[in-house]
Amino acid sequence: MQAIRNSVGDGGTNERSDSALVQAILAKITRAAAPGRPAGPYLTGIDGSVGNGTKNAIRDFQNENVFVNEATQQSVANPLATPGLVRPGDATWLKMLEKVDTAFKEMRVLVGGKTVYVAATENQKQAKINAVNGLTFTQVFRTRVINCITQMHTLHGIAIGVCPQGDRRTFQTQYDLLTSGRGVTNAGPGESNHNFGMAADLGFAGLRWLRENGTVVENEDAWLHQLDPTQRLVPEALRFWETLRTVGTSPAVGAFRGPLADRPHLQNWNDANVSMTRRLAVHLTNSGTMRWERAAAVRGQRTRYSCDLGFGGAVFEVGTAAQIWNREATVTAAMIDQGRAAQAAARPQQGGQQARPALAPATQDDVRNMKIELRRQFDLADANWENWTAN
Amino acid sequence: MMLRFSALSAFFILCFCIVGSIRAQVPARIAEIQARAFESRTGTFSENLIGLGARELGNMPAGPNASVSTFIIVKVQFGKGSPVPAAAKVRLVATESGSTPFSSKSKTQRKKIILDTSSSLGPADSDGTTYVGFWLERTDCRTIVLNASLRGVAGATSMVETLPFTCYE
Repeated sequence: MQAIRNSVGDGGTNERSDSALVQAILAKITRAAAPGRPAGPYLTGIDGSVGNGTKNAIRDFQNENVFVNEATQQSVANPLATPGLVRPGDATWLKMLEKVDTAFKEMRVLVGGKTVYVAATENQKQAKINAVNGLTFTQVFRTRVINCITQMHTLHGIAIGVCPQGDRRTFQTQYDLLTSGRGVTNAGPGESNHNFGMAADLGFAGLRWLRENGTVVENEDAWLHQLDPTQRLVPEALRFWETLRTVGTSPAVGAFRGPLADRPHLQNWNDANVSMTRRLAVHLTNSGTMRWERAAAVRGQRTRYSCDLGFGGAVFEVGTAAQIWNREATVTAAMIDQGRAAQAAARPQQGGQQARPALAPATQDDVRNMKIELRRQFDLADANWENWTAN
Repeated sequence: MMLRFSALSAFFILCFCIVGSIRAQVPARIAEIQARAFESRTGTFSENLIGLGARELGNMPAGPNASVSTFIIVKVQFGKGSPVPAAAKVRLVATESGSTPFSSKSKTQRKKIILDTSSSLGPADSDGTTYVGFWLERTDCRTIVLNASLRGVAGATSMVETLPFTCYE
């Protein structure tokens, strides 16, 4: 059981998280039936706020378990306990730990919070780690993800795991998200740090926490939909997300956060000064047979890319990553003509000063095939994801 | 002896009739709501998203099992031997709510009813069970609450289930 930091009860410090933990313990101790009262818990409300109900429950518990001779059931003094109050490590606290139901011997609460949860077992943590080993990450980042899971369990007793589609994301999946129409992402295929196996989305699936009435939530999902049904990041949910980020970016784990709002996200590098679009252009060049550049940015528009179309000369603006991925690059017949002409001009002439043969103008089939080829270059970059670099 | 046997038989028959009568009077109810995501890349339906622990519904519009629509199946039980009332209908109200809190364009959005329709019932099986299907056209990134209720039947109850969809970058 997590220890309380200060006293709880009548005249106590009554910090919220301490109070919630004491309340949860009292809610999970079965009080014997007595005339006019069936067996049940000492307390049914867990709200982190100490009122008369909590104070009375503490007194009831003490009168029946602390200030009593268990053999004779006579009231006795106990110098190691204070009436109406629970102090860290005192006789009341120790007796509460002794009496709490076995299934709730390991409860925790985040500092400042009131959501008490049952600590995950070693097996539950290991299951999450095993799942990570079946997902797609670079080996270096996989180690960090596992370290993060281990640290969250060690420090907070929580078995976090990777969310669905929270590992390496293909260019196609990125395209799907971009075009979902829900504004989920601004990143096109190859422009998200998820596309290269060095980022993860982590969540809290399986977290067993206690509702205010003491019942245990058994079906929590990765994004805490039970704790935060409308996903508005209520303070109690936010506390879990912030804890995850704090642990993930700690020296013991060594990961970095992504966008501020993207709380489940951890990644392998600090992208404060990394242009994902510039890095994609470099990665495309390194992975395929064309030279790529990021086109000049235009405010309010998605980043466009330029490419030499494989002719080795000047580059031509061929559209956004999404356009190219969807085989809708903005390449034209004139660009192909220009590229071919430059390529021919750059070739050393054979047979002296004879005139070069005229090049046939590009057809619409050539344009269509070039769009397919540009998409193929993205496919090559997608397949070469493990060799993406941040600098 | 014969008289005692007859009395005993009559007692058992009476009990049987009473039990049968009670069983027939089990109130009609919505017994279950199932939700099966329609996967656009495969043309197949997913497992039931409700229950069975299949609650991880993130980034549904993307990936090899991408889905942007869901088929809802409502199971109705009338009890063995009970007739299906001609006026009985199942009303399904699907309400979308919540935001996509982890996306760069996160914003809280208002609740929106994406389906409110009633459907007549088909024939029931010998146990008095029948199923009704509904199609939800856009199910991707926001939580959807399903409220199924039985209309045209006295004393019928409703059922609420939640599909916790979310999306994230």
